[in-house]
Amino acid sequence: MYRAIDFFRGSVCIEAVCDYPERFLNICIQNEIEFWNVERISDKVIRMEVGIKAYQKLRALTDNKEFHVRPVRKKGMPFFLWHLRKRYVLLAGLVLTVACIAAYSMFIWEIDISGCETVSEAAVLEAMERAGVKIGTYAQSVEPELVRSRVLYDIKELSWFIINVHGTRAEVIVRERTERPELIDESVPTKVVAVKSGIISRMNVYEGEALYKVGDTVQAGDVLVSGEMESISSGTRYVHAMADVYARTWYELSLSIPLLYTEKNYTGEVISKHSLCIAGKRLNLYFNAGISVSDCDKISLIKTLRLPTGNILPIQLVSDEYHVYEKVQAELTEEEAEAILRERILQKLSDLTGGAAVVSSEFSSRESDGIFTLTMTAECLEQIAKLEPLTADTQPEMSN
Amino acid sequence: MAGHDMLRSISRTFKLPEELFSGMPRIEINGDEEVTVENHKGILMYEDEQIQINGGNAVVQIRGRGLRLCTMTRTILTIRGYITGVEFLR
Repeated sequence: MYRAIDFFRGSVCIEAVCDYPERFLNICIQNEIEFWNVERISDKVIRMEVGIKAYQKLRALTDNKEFHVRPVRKKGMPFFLWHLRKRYVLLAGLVLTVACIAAYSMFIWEIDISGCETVSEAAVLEAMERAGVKIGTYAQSVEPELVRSRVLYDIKELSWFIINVHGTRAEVIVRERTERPELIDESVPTKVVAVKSGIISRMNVYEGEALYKVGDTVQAGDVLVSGEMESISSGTRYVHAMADVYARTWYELSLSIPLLYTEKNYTGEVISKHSLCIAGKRLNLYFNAGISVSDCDKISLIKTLRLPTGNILPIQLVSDEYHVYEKVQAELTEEEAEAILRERILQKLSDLTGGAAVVSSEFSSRESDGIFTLTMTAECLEQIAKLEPLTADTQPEMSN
Repeated sequence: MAGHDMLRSISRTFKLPEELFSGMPRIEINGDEEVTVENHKGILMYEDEQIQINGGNAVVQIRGRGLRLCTMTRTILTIRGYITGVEFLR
């Protein structure tokens, strides 16, 4: 640290010639001339380092002829610049570099988002861009309150947003809104109907009158629990029927796949094209933008340059790699086709039943004209109850 | 000397830093490599093996090998090197 300060301030290594070097040191102190690294060269010569101003003061003191001071070595930034004073191009380059660094430090080059759980960082970045903050934005123009308002208005899932600009880095912290639980309006008379056909295996009725029992077969649309309850004392009353009804359901699903297909056979030839992306502007490092082959996969590798300190530079090295391939005909074996279709059918069943438990399943397959077909028959156990408001012909008044 | 002795006894009585009143230097020795002298009055002799410092009431002589004056201000100086002895010459 001290060396760095000395470098920027500049220092002069001097040799003082006098009869009594000790007296020279005391004169320096009396005149408030700071020095360091004192070295006795001979009986009458002493070497030391002093600052630039101290050196000028020392030269003024040599008028009394009691001692003689001669510079041995000058070092530091001021002398370096002094040597450059006639080298205009170098000096201009230095000034330009300093100006570039100063200009660079005025823009945002890194956005660091934390706190995202369900909302993606890309969505936050897009909302911020709409609010006027993105990579390359002038840091002083960022108004945290305005950005916060706009982002919170854009993304309803966020409850809290803050942006702090530290130099060239924008630190964004978000907190997501806790979902409000769905409130059940128990004042509305409802009935429970079956959404799928099946045999009831379990039934929990919380409110209303059950019209079916365990073991009964129901069709989709049948009313399982009625919200209309008869009472000897108070007549008919309408309630908010609620129930969990699990039923055994059956599915038959079929999927087909051709056994012959076209496959990519990579030749190993890779065409690379490099370009520089400076502050969002792309600069190609090649002349011929086109490529001679049509069948290829393009993979773009983007490398963001960083300083040794970790700061991001607004320069990206983009390498586009074109992997050339040939289209060849390939054939699936029946085992491979069955494995592929089995996975797809199970996924389709899961989508249909909402992830209900599969009690049993059977698969059958056939191959015809190069088309392999897999059929699955599955028995599931799933929730089939659904709340529906009572129809208009019933009394919509609630009774307690 | 009687005046200095009186100041020293006063500073001891009131538990004040003695170097403020007695005019004696305050010397700090770090191992055998560094000596810091506060309240000095200048340098009397400066050689590689011996440095004599005017300490007001006494001369502080530092002996050793390869002695160098690292920093020096009006009140404080630091000497580095292989130090073999610090003594007072009266």
